[in-house]
Amino acid sequence: MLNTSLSNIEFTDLLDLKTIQKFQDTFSDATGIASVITKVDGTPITKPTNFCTFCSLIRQTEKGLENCSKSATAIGKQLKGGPMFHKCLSGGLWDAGANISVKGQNIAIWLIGQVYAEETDENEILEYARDIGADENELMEELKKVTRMPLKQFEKILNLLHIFANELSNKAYQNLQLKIHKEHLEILVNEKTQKIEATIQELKIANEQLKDKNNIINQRNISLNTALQQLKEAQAQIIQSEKLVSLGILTEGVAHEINNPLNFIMGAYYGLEKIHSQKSYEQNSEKLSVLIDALKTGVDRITTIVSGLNEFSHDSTSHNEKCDLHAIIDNCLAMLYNQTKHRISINKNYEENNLIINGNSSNLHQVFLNILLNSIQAIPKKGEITIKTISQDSNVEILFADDGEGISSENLKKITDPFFTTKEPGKGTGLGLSISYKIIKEHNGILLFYSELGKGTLVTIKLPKMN
Amino acid sequence: MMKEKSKIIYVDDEDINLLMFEFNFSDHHEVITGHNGAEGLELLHKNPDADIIISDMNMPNMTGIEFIRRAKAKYPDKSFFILTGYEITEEIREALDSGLIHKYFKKPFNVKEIKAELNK
Repeated sequence: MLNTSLSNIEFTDLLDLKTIQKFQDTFSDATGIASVITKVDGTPITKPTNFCTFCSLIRQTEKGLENCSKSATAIGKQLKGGPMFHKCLSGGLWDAGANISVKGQNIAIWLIGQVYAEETDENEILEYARDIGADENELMEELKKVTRMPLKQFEKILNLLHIFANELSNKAYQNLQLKIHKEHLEILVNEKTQKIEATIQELKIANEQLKDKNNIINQRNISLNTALQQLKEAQAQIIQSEKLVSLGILTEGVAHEINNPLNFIMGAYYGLEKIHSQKSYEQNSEKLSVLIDALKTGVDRITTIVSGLNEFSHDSTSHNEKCDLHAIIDNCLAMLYNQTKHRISINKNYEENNLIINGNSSNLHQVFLNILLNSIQAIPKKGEITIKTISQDSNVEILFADDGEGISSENLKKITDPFFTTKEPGKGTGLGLSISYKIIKEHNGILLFYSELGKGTLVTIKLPKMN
Repeated sequence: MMKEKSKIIYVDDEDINLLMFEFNFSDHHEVITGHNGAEGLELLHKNPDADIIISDMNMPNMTGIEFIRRAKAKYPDKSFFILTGYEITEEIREALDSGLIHKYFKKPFNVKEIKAELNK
């Protein structure tokens, strides 16, 4: 709500007092007429200008002061209809006044006067002086100093005053409008400011809540990262332990494959010892070379197997190793030789050039070993495994085909599920293909199975040459 | 007169194993060798005087135990042995318990152990 209501508007709220005083002084100076601006109740607002000693002398008498006040009040009351002038009810000089009003409400009165109209009879004034008990001589002397003019002239000045008063009224009205507008604006600004402050407060609270939530999210992220890290470590451990389990499955065969060449070496040792003890080198020179060859063959075979095992089991997370795929497959075949040699023929249909890709050699060993082991285990008696490698522009394809028992379409869906196995206990973990799938995926490759019950299984691996 | 050498039939699919066996046992024994069960049966047929038969386990077509089972059926009085790179398996254990084989030797072979057994 607006604070400004017409009932308590003060003249000085709307108009600058200094300017008005100057206005009034200049007016009086130009016309020689006394002037003052008062409130509606008669209280002066401006300092009176040009007030004459004549009037002061009259007001020094009790009766004169009383009449003077009556006259001022009277002019104030009559002014409501517009500007007017009258002969003073006290000294008989002429007075006039004009309203200054805003929206029909008077806020001030501009009084002028103390003019001696040339038409006035001096005797009347003399008589009045006697009546109120003033000093006649002194009063008449002062009367001479009073501004004189024809009544017609005074009337013209009053018209001028009326115009001025109207202009002041307009000015006051404009200022009032400005004041109202300003207050209205201030209220609007205050309201908006309060709203903004309330909004800021709400935002601060929301921000605090967001900060809290952010902290919670950050903490959860840290926990998630830790969990992820642990999961990765666990997965790496699973891969490694699956290798160990595969090694366990292979051990029997591998031990046999090592014991045979050890038998060569042992046999050669006994033979050499005998020749040495008899110092019969000359007559046994042919025998010696056979024994030495047996030693070499035994050591070479063991070396091949042990390095194959190392290739398979070495624990590395690098995916930037140069992996010679033919060498890796051959390594796996060497480790499995004991299980294939008398019953499964291996047909190698390799691409002419070496296939070398970027990857993790040990993990690729694990994949090929798992697939070959599955094929071997799928062949109950005699059979065939065909391995074909194909080089494409940016990929290599490795195909393992066996003529074993095959996999039912129901089981085919599950073979890469962790822990799914149809094998007897001790023959497999159920993790081999799920880990193989994961390893091929880590190499950005594809692992596909096609199988028919009773006919065999085809495993296709597609790997990018560069990783 | 020197005592005539006793005949041993040794069956193994690895030539070097056969050679090493011959080298180490031929001074006291006549060693006849074959590469698989089928050859072993043929050697038995050709050499009825061979009393000792030693066989490898893992061979094409026929395992050592399968070969011995057939041989024993025909020649129940002869002594049969297994010499293999495998740890003792259930199949070998049963063969020992049933008296199908006399003893099981493990590769790499211990010449003294085998000689001691052959001289019994």
